[in-house]
Amino acid sequence: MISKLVLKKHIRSSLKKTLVSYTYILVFLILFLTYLLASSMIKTNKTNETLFEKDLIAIHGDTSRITEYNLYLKLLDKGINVIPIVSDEITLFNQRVRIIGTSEAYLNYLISDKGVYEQTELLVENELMAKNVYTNTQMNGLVIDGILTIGQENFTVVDSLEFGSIPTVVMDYQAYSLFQKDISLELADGGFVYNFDSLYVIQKNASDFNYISDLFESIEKKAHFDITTHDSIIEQKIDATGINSTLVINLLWILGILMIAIMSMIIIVSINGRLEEFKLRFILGHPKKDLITETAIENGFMMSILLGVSFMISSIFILVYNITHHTPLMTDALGFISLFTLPLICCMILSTVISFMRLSTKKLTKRRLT
Amino acid sequence: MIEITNGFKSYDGEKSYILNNVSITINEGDLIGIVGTSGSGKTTLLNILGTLDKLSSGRYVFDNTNIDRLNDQALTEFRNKHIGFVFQEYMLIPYLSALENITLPVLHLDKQTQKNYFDKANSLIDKFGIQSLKNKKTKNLSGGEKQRVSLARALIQNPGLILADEPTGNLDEDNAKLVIKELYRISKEEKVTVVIVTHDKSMLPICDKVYEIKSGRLNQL
Repeated sequence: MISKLVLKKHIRSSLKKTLVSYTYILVFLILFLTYLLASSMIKTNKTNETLFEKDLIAIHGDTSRITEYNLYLKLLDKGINVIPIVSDEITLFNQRVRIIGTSEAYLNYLISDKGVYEQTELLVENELMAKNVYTNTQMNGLVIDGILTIGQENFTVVDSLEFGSIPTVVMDYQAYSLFQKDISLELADGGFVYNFDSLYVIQKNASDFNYISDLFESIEKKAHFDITTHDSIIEQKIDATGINSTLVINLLWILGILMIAIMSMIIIVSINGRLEEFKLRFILGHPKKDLITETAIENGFMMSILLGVSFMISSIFILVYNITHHTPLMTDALGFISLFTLPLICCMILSTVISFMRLSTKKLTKRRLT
Repeated sequence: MIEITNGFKSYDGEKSYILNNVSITINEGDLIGIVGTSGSGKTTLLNILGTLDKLSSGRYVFDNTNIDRLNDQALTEFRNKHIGFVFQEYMLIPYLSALENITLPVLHLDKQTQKNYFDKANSLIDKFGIQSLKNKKTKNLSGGEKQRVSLARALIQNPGLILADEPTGNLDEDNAKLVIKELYRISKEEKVTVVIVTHDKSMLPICDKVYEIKSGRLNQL
């Protein structure tokens, strides 16, 4: 049985000292997140103009399905620029490939060799790993409270969106009218049609198509359709929310790893600081497993405080970001939670492993009695 | 009774022996003094007596228990129940009170057992005249006070053996006399076997037997 009295007293006595060191870490975290927020604000203002000044077509959904695949090829054939959007970047590598490649060489390959569908899938995966693509989260970021914001303009959303779970097609009206037949097949199966000037949502019922079709009839067709190169957008590496998604993900990973490194350091310092005490208690007959458990609990408790405060700060950061940008930075709750629980789990494991290593019988009895 | 018979200890696979054919018999209530120069094997002998280390060969029997046959966990339990330690540097936990330090050897036990030992600790506090220090954190105590707390801690479980490592090494003359007197009393009145490792010659006259350890060999003086 662990000595609760000693554990309680030690936590109480070291809490103040520990909290001071945590404050430094948290100040660093706040500064880091503030920097991230500030830099993303600057980027948003700067990039929205360049990103959305052109008319774009995006295909969003299960491009492994032949309808979308054919649609995509036809669009390319007509020289229309297409932005591929993945269903979810995070789960990308667990899924079948759902995206069409983006490099010029690859597009040419697709156009010249349409029939080789299975072969292209593999190529697509390789392409994806190297390319920056739109994610569901980023697409969701375009729509807030039923309003689609592109550049300076707002558009009303007819129906709610469920990105990620329903195959989706995003395109402008002109492109739609060119390939209405193919699209209608898709729509009968359930999906969405969007227009970047107006946004229409088709529900799963095939009858809804008529309603939307009527709406389309009333829209004035655009006479001109600008083409922009997708590579130029990719080169900017700026996503629809105005923040570089690769940078954010990388920074979050770096932050996570940094937190683990800092926490490991704290655990080692904490155990080293109490090593003489543990030696004494082992000599006096406290079982080694109790000492290890006590260390793991103590460090787990301390780390929870650190992570809890970090979690709160990050939540505030994301909230502020969402309010100021009208776009959710992170809608994937599981991803957000795992961002903090993973380091905690790592720390608990780390704490136990370090405790085992630092509190071996050999080390605990290595003491001069005379 | 504590008995080591033909004890050898080597850390390098029999190339050299830290303890070389050591035999010693200590009766209940004996007060034993061990002297020796640095590197003579005092530490090793004390570690073995304290069950912190094992003999390479030979036999160590403590009150009919063959110590050599116990595994690490059993040794820890045995040490906890039967052996008390007194150190030169007192080895008290600074953020705990004197009372909590005295009960430290039993703080891993269940609450009811702990409660009984807290009663015992209070009686030891009375016996050592440190009532006023009971709730003070030990980092605020003087050397003499710390050593009395340390002695009380060694006695909390009524051990059969107390191992005292230079118990007067950091004390002034008055406090050293007090500690010597206490160790003698513990040995004679409470019938606890006490083994003292010391350089302090003033301690030797009170000992029943004095051994000198030299190059791993133990000789009675």
